[in-house]
Amino acid sequence: MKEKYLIAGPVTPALISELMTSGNEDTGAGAVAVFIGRVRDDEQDERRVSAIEYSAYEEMAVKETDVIIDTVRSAFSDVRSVVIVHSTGIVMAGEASLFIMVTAGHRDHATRACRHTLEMVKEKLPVWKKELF
Amino acid sequence: MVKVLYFGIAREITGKAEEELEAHDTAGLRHLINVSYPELRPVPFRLALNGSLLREETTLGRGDKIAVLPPFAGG
Repeated sequence: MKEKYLIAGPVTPALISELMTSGNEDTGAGAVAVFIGRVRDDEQDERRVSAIEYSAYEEMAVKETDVIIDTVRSAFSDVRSVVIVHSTGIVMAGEASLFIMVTAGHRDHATRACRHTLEMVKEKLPVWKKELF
Repeated sequence: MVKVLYFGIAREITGKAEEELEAHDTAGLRHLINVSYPELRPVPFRLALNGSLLREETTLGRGDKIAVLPPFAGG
């Protein structure tokens, strides 16, 4: 199963809950690894970040997400599904802007593939951010 | 003419989401962009052609869509 999303606004708790139960019918997936990235209220030049506005090159992001998912599935044979959701638009500090979930038969490939997916998202997804104060 | 799309800080610097420019290859286009927008020179941007990242300079044809991509910052 492959899923990929760019969504407007934060990755809400309701969406996270929905995504985390979406693969429950795959009873061979004994391990689920999840990464959630949230907006941090960093201080810059004596101002505190209140939100981040994300923008993306959507046409390319869809292609790159396909490449990321195919690469992860090729590298980790035990992986059964990869879900990537990234926000566009404004996400407030404390809210989630990135959700990655990898299911696998066993914990080793699930956790390592989740980390690998995260690093590829950081490197390859054409997304930009602008801090708002 | 090729369509040039700007993203991230490149959009802020140029003040444009897109424009049409006359260029026959990506090297010429880079030069044109750097001359037109000197503030972009310090930005190590890459180019994508029709939605795919370019890894080397290439020729351009009428109707091609080139994206100016500053360093990615997702997550």
